Amino acid sequence: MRLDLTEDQSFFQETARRFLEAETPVSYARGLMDDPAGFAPAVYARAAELGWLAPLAPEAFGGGSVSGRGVADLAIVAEETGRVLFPGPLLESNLAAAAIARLGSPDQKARHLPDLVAGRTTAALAWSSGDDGWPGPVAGAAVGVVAGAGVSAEPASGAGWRLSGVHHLVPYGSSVDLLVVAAALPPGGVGLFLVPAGSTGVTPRRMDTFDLSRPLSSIELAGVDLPGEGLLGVGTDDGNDGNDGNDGNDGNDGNDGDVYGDAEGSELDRLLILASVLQCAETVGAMERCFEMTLDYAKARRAFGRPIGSFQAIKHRLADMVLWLEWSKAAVEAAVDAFESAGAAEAASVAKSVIGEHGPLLVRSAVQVHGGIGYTWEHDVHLFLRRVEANAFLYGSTDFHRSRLAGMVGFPVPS
Amino acid sequence: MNNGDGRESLADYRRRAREWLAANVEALPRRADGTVVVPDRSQPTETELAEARAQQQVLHAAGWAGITYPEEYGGQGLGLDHEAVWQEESAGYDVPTQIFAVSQNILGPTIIAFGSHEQKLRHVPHILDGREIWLQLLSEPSGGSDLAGLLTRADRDGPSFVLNGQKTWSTGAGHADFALCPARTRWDVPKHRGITMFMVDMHSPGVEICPIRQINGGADFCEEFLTDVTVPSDRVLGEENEGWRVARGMLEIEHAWVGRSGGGGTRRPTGVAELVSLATSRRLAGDRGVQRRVAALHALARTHDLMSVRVSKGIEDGRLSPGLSGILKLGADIVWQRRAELGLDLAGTGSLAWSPEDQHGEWARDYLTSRSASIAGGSDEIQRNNVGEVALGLPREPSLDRDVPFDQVPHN
Repeated sequence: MRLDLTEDQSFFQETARRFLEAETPVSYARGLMDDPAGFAPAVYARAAELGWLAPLAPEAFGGGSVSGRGVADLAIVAEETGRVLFPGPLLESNLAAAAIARLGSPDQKARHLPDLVAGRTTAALAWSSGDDGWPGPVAGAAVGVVAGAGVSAEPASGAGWRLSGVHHLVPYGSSVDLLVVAAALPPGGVGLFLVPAGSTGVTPRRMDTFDLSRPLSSIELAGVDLPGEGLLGVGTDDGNDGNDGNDGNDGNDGNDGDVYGDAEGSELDRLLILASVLQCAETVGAMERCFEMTLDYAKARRAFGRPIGSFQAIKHRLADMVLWLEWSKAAVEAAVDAFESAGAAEAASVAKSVIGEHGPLLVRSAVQVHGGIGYTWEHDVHLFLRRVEANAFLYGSTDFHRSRLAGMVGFPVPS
Repeated sequence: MNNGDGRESLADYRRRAREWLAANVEALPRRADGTVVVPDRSQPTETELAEARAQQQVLHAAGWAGITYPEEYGGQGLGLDHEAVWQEESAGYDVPTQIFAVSQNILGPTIIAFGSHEQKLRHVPHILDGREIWLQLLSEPSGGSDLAGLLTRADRDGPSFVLNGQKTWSTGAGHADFALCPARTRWDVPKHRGITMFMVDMHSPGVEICPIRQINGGADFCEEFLTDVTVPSDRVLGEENEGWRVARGMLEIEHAWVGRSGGGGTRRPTGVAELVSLATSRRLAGDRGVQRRVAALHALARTHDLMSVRVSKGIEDGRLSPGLSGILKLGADIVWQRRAELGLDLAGTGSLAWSPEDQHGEWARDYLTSRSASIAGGSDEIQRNNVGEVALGLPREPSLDRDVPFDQVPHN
């Protein structure tokens, strides 16, 4: 947790922790591992009541944040939910709300935002080819992946669109109501489309997953026909910018003609940065809880007549874990603070680099300190192991973000 | 404008520092790639020392010394934020940071924390204006990590103490004026309870200083032989036989400072620009793996600086355990060694043999010097013990000498 929360933010954080510890401890996530939806709508609705879906949506549509800095408030929620591996498309729905708030037409906003904020609708982004890379070409970065390469959009009859292709790694992709789909546009560039999950031709396939507390699906789009207003906006700056879902910069911060202060950052890039920052906050929450469990165990478990935490072999491991955790917390704070500045992309990739390395180190150590019990299915430590390792790949792998960073610190960018 | 707490705002402070530096101090030379060439003053000549003292006097008179020190002892009464701003702004200028680093960042704050009002008045202003350079005389040849097992003795002789023993691994003893030196005043009690902290005048008769040659070829550490050195009893810092408490406090101050600064006395640049240059000169700049390693180092170095600020503040305002200061040094050590190892790797065979004007020699030297990071100032193993025991509340390893009078403990 940050040491510089405002009074309102502290209250918000404490409320979140109380709710989550009482209603959805890790055993709750465990109970939903085999659930077809992977979450319970009634509990999700309560999360919405607590304001966890509002921070990135404008007030006119029911949104609003505690501190006036939606990303900072949502990072608090992400960290707290990470501590219990809270099940549900909370992060994804917030990302979708952010995309709609920023790119949507007045009609699109009115249609979707109030329901997303109230938790009546859930959403997820479908934007990964499943490769190591992730959408989000950024100026000056060493990696510019053509987003949506797996899905393309063709103009169809009556000013509509037809989407074809496959996206992968969509969290809760088999159970959300609405998909925000990235698709290559015919003149070049990438469009973001609003696709109701029940549309004809949309086939989600839930995969077997490494992380058991967050389902992932691939989404096949077999010639899905959308009306013209299905296009939310253009996600890249290198394509045809003739479409103007893209002018509505009336998100929740009023003056965000360019949120990064980086004129070349694209909309997809902005989403990737936002996803990375919030995911890193979630990872830090999971790391922190996993560390606490491990510390408690090292104090309680005895061998050779004394607590195992008194042995330097264990004590030194725990000291390293504290260092990794504190590095990770600092990286998230910096990424949150930089989000609305020119340094947003760099700070987000710094966080993904640091946390993508030290998160896995921490959870592996946690399993090791637990010894045999840590290798059992019924102990919770493997659920944290799975989440933290998985997060190091989702929204761009650690290597992907390091390559982005390399371009920002002066290395030549491959063409 | 001020911060609301009566202090000058950071932006105003930065502007004022920038203007003053530009008008009053020589800028350091830069390499072709824009990186600053920081002169090595770890073993200053007499002339360099005299120049540094004169320059420090100017800095002090202008209000740029002792930024976080209390005003009544010649400081500025500001916070770590202001100090960080000054360090950032002064990094490109030839200010005598290195020579006074240990004196002003470890010894001065220790005297502030444990000294009497008279002791502070007498020494702190001179520590800040450069007239007095202080050092620590901690390690002994018989043991480094087991600091409390020290063998240097101090025996009462009327109004004074007489010190005898040997100290080692003291940074910059060759040009120091005073030292904080723990010595054993009681032998019939367990080791932590018989130590007293002395303020020793290094110009006293009986103090002999010999440089130690290190693996990097330099000799900025020394060993000292103390033979019947007389120290008046008003030079005891803290209470008699309470010196362990002072030593612990001093170590915490040191670890926090090393963590904040990387230990170089100035905020160490992440080194990323230098590494990119190095990779380019070795025709490795297009190698994806090399790029990622440099990027990862950059990310970690940057994050460590931010973590240091976060944790230092947390300790300062009581929200985090002081035991966490160990991770500041531990992290700084890891970052430095990782950078040095990466530099050596990228320099490759260039770090095996080089011509004198070539920069590859710097990477070889930095690598060798970096090996000291995890040993000096409390080894990384000791840091991990402190973090585990003080911050995390883990039990200590059982020890064989803990409650035994020191004169019954076997030692080297």
